[in-house]
Amino acid sequence: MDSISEHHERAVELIDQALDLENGDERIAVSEDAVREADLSGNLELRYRAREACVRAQFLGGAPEKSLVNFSWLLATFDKNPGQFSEWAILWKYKWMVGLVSNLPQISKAKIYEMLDDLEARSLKAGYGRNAIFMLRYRLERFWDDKPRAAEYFLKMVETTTDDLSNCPACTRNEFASYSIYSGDDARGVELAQPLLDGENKCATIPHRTYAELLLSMVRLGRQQEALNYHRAGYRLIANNRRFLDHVADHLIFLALTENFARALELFEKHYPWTENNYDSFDLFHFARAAWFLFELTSERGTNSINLKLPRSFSRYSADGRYLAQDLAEMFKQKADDLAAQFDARNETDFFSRTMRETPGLKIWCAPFPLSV
Amino acid sequence: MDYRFQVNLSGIIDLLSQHTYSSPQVFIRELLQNASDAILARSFLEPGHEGETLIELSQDDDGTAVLVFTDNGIGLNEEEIHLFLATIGQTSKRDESFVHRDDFIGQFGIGLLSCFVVSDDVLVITRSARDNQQTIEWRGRADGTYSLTVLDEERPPGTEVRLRCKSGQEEYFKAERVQALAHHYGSLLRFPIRFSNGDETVLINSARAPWEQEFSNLPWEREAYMEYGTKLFQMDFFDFVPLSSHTGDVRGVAYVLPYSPSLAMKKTHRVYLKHMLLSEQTEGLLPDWAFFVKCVVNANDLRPTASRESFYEDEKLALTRAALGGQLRQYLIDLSVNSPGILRMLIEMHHLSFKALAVVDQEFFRIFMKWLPFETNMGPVTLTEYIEAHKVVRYVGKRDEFKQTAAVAAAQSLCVINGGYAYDRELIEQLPAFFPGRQLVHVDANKLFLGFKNLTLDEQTEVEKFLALATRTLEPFECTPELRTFSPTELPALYTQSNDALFMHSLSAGKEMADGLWSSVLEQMSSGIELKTWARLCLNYGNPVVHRIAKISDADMMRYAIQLLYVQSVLFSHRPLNPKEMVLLNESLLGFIKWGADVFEGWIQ
Repeated sequence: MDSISEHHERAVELIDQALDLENGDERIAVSEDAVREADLSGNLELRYRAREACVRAQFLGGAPEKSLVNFSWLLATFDKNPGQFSEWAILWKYKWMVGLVSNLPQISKAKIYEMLDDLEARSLKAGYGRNAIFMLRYRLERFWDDKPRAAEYFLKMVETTTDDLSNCPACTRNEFASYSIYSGDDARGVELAQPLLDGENKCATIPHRTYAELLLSMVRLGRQQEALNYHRAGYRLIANNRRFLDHVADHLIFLALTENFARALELFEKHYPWTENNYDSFDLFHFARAAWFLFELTSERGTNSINLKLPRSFSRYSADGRYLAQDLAEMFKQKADDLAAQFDARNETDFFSRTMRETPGLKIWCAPFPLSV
Repeated sequence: MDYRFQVNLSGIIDLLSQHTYSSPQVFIRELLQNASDAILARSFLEPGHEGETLIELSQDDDGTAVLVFTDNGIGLNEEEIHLFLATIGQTSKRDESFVHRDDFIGQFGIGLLSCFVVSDDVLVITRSARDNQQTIEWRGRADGTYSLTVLDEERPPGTEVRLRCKSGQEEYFKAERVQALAHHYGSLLRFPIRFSNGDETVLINSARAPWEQEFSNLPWEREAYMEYGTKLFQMDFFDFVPLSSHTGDVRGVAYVLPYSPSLAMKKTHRVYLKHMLLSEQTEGLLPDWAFFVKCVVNANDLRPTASRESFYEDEKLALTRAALGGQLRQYLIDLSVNSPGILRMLIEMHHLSFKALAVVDQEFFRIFMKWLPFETNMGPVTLTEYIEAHKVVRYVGKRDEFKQTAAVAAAQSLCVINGGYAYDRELIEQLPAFFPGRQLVHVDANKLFLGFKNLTLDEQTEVEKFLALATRTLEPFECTPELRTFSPTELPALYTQSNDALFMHSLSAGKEMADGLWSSVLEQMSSGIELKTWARLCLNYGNPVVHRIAKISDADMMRYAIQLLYVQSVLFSHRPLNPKEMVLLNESLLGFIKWGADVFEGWIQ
């Protein structure tokens, strides 16, 4: 049997090792190992620290559902040991969790509101203001497209002062841009986002998300040529992290709209495996919707038979790698429709199915803008 | 005559020192930049003009330190001075100011602003080289006023900027500091920068970058490059690779890091733009896979972002990146042909970089397949070695799976590659493209079961009671037991769980630990997951202990033994125990202790 101090040492080592890795599968595996070793050491502080690292790795590396479980352990342990662990750190992660649960249609609307109320009460008790809470409430109402309430909370957020629980300046600026686009003002959104593209503020997800979120606006503004640069810049930033799967979908749609089909299929091939063992229904919805759009457009442009390298586990796997675009389009449409129905049932709105109905309408923006490099 | 700015200058200066300029020291960069632009502009006017710059440090009558920057560039006329003042006025809208960064005058105005961070008044004496211009003196003060005077004085064309040390900024008026900063920003400028401190004048930028020099032989070239790298980065590098790209007009050198870099760390490079230092932390210059080098380059035709930490992503940058990446790639390929010994050392430190490239570059992968190390349950191999020795390529995709299966697979003489490290799985899955017809098998513990021997009919009768009890005991744990014979016989049982089951398991463990709200959140989470298969506990009838347990007559003892085998196998599979399983462990251990004590008492009596 290994001695307790050996487990302790190994846990510390693994936590360090996880810090040295990029967000992704390996970092998740290493930090999960750290949790196991820390548990065996029996040292509460170390167990807590290892789980903090693990929540981070899982949330930031594309296994958010796993982070939910570890977070609940952290929160329970935090509550049972008052004063022992950082309050800010647990509240910050709580924010992540609240942001995450809307992506999981099995979590009820009532439960999400309950979590938000819990986080709000905890934040106020800890002496923070409501800025971060308003941001989360706005994001949530926007998620199911309750426009009036989203606008109400957005305004409240703008009117409250920020504090240490607020999003970072880069994320906040991005939210302003994104809100303009959501409200139908593409030009304003692009303008507001410009400083982010200039690198004035940045963080772990900005400008990664920014580029993806601007693509469609740029197409609608007729600025495809510049948008090709946004695709180049933005895709590099997200190409190797599963958590950005929904944004990979934005790039797929953009590539389809600019008729860069070869490149789009290349991206599809690379990222399809990310949908396996993936519990994030929101990401899955967006990827399936983008795939449907891409394959439908491919076949409409006269290329029905395509070659793809897909894993054996793909439900329509073909050993010679030949697929019919029309088949794939139908399959992914079905998948996206199913997920949309789940979301709409939970959300009590028709936003997701409406998004599906409106997707073919994007084709009016379709025009060839070939990528040279 | 005195004029007044239409803006609050001190406000702008505050703004600048907080945003555009990260530290007061950048006034030296800005003044050198102004000099450089002015000299370039004059050389267009007068081809063959030899530019130069002098930085003089002296003291005022009242003992205040004074810095004077003089260049023999194009100079400014009165109209241009008004133009640059207009530019200063516009800096309150900073986005627009950057529109002007391409033109010299706008640049001059912005650059001059940074001087107010260290000096309360700024004196500019300038004479334009165009036509026959007068000498003009401009004196600007931080309170927002300035004066413009035409001097009755003959002087050669050029510009002189005079700064008086502001209280608290003495640091930036010390001889060593000024020299060091001028060298820091301007060491690659092509015109001489001299520094004078009263009696002594020194040349600041005497050394030229190695890529700007001609070498008569290779050892000298190597020495010059390596020494330059050591001086610049305070590090002894492993090797160097000269870089150049026609697109972007880039020249420079990549140094091979003497250690394995952390993947999480930002990969930044030292970049000069038109021979002026742009940033020591520029990102995005090289392809993502090239994290085994640290570069210093000069670019004449790439556009930096306002933060100066990267270039605008455009076609030009993409082409430049491809060109530089191509040279690094060629360097590695050349090593494989000419210096396999060096390559071996390099791979030891940087195999991750190699693998990152191989993932996106089939040809590269083909060349380096015989070099790149992979982990298997029978020790490290290269893929070429593996392919030569094994008809079927067996691998697992995750570190956890590898731990679970390694020993069992080895006992059955199956060599399994661990695809759990960065890039490894992606590379392994590309193998069939290189070796058509070669079978690729993703090994999981369930597949290993296929190779296990079923019990004979007689044996099945022997274990009937045991198997029934195990089924009942493990049912609450959503685990199905089965009995087989397999190697290694030292292993009593093998526990396996699908990904879904594993996640469900962690959810239920979480539920028990969490409070009301979170417990119900996890409950709802698990309701959305459809569990297709239970966990399996494959008991090894070939193991002597299992063989004996299966025949114990005492039902309690048999149950304790089954529980312990279960818990031990779960731990062996690297999954933590949940509270229910902890209870199980305690119960069976206590049962055994009590049984042991009873037996021991029996002996004594």
